[in-house]
Amino acid sequence: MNGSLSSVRDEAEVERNVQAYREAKGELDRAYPLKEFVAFAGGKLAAHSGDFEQVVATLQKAGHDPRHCVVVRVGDPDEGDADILATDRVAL
Amino acid sequence: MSEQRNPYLGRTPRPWLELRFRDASGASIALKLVADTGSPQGVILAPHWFDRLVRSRVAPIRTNFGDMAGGWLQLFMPEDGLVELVRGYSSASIGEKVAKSHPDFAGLVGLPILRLGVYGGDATDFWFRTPSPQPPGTP
Repeated sequence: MNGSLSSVRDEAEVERNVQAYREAKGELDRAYPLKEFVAFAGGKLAAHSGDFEQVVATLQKAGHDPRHCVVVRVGDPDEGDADILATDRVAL
Repeated sequence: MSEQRNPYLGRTPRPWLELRFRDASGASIALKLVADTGSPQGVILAPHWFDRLVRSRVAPIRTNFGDMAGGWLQLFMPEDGLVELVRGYSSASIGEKVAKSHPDFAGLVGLPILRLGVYGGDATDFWFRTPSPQPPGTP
């Protein structure tokens, strides 16, 4: 398969899972314990566990590549947009 | 107490740390990262290193360096007491800037990781100290 086409498809899958997470995130704090890992794959919620490796194993067993899935940890701050990094105009 | 002490490095001298990560296959990868206490992200890597190390993704962020893809990375330095799943981000712009300073630099390490230990510097060196891991069987 063409590498760049594959990459575009992979990123489209990531974006689909980001969208699924954004639609669900208001409910996650109520539905799952603090620090639970919740995974989105195939555009929907696909796995959850307190153990990250368990979530990865569940995703793989279901045929998903975890590198294209979105995994969030309940209670972590949403890093969101407009973070300012100090070194933008500094010549490193 | 475990200590890493590194002489400043780069076209203009920069503080840096060598951090070791574990990829999805279990291989250990050591990267030299510029220490940036002003960065709110734990790690920002050149895209090829991010792609090598990412275990799963998190939502992207928008920054003044542009949008950055994000993901979970496994920081794996058990001899230094640092085994943590950390959020990292991918930036071609950051990767190019740090490599221009010194070709060994692979990205930035920011405050979320630096504050896992104690860091400091003097006229010649930057250092990072972490508590030694407890030996097995220690109560």
